[in-house]
Amino acid sequence: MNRQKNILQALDWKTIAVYIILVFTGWICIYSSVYNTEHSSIFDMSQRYGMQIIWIGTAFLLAVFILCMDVKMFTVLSIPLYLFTLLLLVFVLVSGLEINGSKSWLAIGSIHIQPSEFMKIATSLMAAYVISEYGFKISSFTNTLKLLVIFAVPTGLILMQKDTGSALVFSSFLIMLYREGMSGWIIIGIIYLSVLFIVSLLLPTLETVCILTALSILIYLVLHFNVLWKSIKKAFIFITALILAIFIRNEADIRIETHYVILIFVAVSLLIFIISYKGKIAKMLFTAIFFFSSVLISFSVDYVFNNFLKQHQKDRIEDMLNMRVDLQGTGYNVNQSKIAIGSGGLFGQGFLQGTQTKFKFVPEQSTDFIFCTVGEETGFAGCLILIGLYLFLLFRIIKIAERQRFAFTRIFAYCTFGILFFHFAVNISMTIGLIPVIGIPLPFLSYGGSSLWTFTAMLFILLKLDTKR
Amino acid sequence: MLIINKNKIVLFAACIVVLIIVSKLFYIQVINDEYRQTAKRNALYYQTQYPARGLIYDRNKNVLVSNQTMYDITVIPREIGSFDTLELCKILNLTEEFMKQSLTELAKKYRNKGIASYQQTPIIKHISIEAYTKFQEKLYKFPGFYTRAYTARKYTTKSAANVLGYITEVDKNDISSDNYYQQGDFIGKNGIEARYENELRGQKGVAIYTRDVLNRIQAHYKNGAEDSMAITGLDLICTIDSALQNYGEKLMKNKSGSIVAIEPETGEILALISSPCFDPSLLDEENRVTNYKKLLDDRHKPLFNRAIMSPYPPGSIFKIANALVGLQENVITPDTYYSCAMGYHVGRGVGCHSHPSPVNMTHSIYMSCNAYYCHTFRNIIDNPKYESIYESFDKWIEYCSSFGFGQKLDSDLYGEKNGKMPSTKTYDNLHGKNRWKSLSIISLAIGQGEIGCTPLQTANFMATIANRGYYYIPHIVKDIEGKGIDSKFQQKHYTAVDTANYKKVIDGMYLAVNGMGIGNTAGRAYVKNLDICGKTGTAQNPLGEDHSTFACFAPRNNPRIAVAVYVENAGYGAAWAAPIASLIVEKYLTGTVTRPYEEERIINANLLNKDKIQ
Repeated sequence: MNRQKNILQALDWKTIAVYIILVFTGWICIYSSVYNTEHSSIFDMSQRYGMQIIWIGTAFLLAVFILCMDVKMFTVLSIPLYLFTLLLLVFVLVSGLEINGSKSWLAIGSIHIQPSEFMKIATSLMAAYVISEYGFKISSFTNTLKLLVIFAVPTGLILMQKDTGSALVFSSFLIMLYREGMSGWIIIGIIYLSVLFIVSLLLPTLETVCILTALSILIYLVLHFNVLWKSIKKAFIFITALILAIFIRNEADIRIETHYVILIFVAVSLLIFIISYKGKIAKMLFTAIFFFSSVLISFSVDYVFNNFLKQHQKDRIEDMLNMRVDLQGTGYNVNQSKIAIGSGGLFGQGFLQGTQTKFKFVPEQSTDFIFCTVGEETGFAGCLILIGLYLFLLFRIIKIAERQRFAFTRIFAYCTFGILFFHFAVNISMTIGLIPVIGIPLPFLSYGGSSLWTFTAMLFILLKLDTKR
Repeated sequence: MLIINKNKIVLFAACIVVLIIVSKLFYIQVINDEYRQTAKRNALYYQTQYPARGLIYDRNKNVLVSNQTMYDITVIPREIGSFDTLELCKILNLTEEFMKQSLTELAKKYRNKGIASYQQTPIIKHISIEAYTKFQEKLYKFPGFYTRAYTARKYTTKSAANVLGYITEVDKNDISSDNYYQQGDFIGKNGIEARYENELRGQKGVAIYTRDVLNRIQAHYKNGAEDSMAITGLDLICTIDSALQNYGEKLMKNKSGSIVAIEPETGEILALISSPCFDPSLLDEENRVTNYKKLLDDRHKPLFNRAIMSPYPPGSIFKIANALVGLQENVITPDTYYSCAMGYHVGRGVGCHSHPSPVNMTHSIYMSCNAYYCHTFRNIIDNPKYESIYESFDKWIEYCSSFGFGQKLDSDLYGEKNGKMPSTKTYDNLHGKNRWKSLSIISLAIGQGEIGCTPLQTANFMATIANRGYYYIPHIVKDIEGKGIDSKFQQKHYTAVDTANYKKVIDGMYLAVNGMGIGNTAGRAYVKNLDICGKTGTAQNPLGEDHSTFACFAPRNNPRIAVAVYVENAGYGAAWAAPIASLIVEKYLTGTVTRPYEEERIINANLLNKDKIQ
């Protein structure tokens, strides 16, 4: 009796409140997005909104079940659960169901489940278990290797299912790793590489090289803060010359051949060498390595892009970068989604009044593009409230994480934070055209049992763990 | 080194990401309006509701022009998706070649920017109602295809084509000059249809529907709250007596020329015929394309509305005008006699036919004496009251203008022309300043030379005489569905000549038709008991045989009809124009014809192709 009372008191009710609000918001949004007059009851089981209430109900049961479990179970079960889910992934690869080009579904009767969703929990628990072990140091080589295997195996399996979106979610574990001691430079490096990738695709070679040169000089100057004033003159002359070169090239429309570009490399390297000769060799070397590796990466991007990416991935990237306009083809989804959200204005069209989602102009309007319904029917104001709710939830999770005595709970909390944040940010960004379309659901709102159960389970495992803080 | 907790950095980074998302959301939802517009175009289908065009009745409430529903298949070029051409052909019962040709034509037009990508453009016209309903059901299979039901004109009358005008689809100019019109709308061209376009067209309405991504209509947008009903065009009652119009056209068969009949006490046009005539149905929606060019290329120019456009020389009819001016200016009296020896032999001279001499004013009209009017005209122009010929000639012009000559009468007939009236400047240019005298312009005395009157002006002149000195502006529409007509048509326009003087010339006109014995120039216009007062004219025509003209009104007291008739290249006025006019008068006043032989002779006569240019 006493123990029961303690649990109820220790539970983070604010988080639960936000969770319930989000889940029911999702239910109403699904109702609105697939609403038709023939099936106007929100409990009509032949429709998605009718089904969603079943998912919600079972998710609640799952939440209660988790809260009733012994906390120790989570640590004990980490390894078996991880291995079991891995097995499921392999099984899916062998005899799974293919929907929308991804072979990531398991059919149990008429219900389709996606084991890759559950893998997120299993991996989080596994990572928390491993990292929280006594004597674990993230900087040690064997430990790093261990972690790499824990993350890489499921990611690889999911990639093999051609479910790139879910695979990308695993990159959110970087946030947890960062918190647990990984150097921030790794994340900066990854961000730098993705920016470099996009820039290389968007801009012609010469411009890219120019930008990299400027960046290298900047880095060099930052490293050589003391000789900044001496070098500034030379740098100024060089940058002026570069700008002039770009200007002449653009104005005169001269096609500069690759060997000219190489000539510029040599000139730049020489210049950097001359400037840096007076400085320390190490700094000079760093700048030079940075420059040449960047150029190398930039040059190989085209090759990677053309030879390693799948056509639909290329299309999505090209659409996002506005490299071409194909509103009837792959760009259709994003364009329609933007139209739907954009038509909401400040206060939206009103409940059930959204024409774009209701009349199926927006594809997948109840799953990945559920945010369109929010945008269209409740407008900017509604979007702000929804985003506010998510942000509150995320802040709450960090708060929970930081008040733990046990590393296991904290690590698991950061995993939850990472996965939720990734889903939330990536899903909304793709509906408004900030990033390419990556097919992942909006947590708690999107239609579907697998994702709702996963997010519910993660959140309530965390809440249960939190009761033992 | 500054130490910041890693959890703070994580939250800070998350906030930056959220901030980026919110800014983008703010941009597409609040700042950029384009998405909202596109959403409307996406999901709303604006179906134009076409109003029925107003009907046109004749003065006796017989329907002349009514409506019939036509069905077209239209496309919005940019919405066209893939579809089965064969199935389309099958539904519409068309051959594949025809379909392909229509599609290529459309593509060509589209490429040449003839049509905008968002505009509904007809692609197959005039399909049957069966094909229309069948296609309507299969519409969802043909993205970008729509149907259009609209009302086209149906003509119950076979006459008055130039009076009624016709309607066509609007062209680029129409659309740019009035934003009411959209591609595919109809607009009146020519005649009543053009002049009363705003009354007849009504007001288009719109029904807004929501549609889904497959172009299937879902529901009425906002339950029709933003719809507007089409307002039917107003019905017009025109002044035409269709029986008289038909009869006139029958008489003018195989003749080139014009008849205008006006009711003097109202100015209403009873008949307005421009011959050669044609059936107005030739220019209806189904036939216009094939017939329009044919009519345009016809050497007798049926599309040229002679009644209001052609400046015929008035010939001897104009003597009445000069008599009226002379009387008003006191340069002649009814008892002024002038002798005539086969003409006026001063200067180049003007010939005359043989008739008793001398004649007074009444008889000069009765016998149409040329010499008498040479004297009269010179008396007017050389009147010592005026300092110069410029002053006296301007005075003469002023009189003529008050009769309605040389300017548009401001009627409601579409395309009315000025006619021709000389000015002092005309003769300055011709002869040199101060180098012309009354004799130089003596042709004007007998209605020849630099003067031209449209049949409408001549008929109006007759109505003026019938009214003894005033006219109502001739008009073709009597009533606009109870709204009445412009008040300008109810105002009397007095001429510069006193009523008393009119009575004097009427005696001559009466005699011209009814006078017995030698010299009644218009005996062929005589009809017993009708008291027709008229005047013949033989308008000299440098291009061919003279135009036969006659103008009259009847009866003498309380006149009910004024008529002007021109028959091109037909010779003497008495030979053709006079009997035609009298038949018109008789038909209108009595409803019967007492001289079937005359009627038959006229109907059977072919006076076409007598002009020199063949």
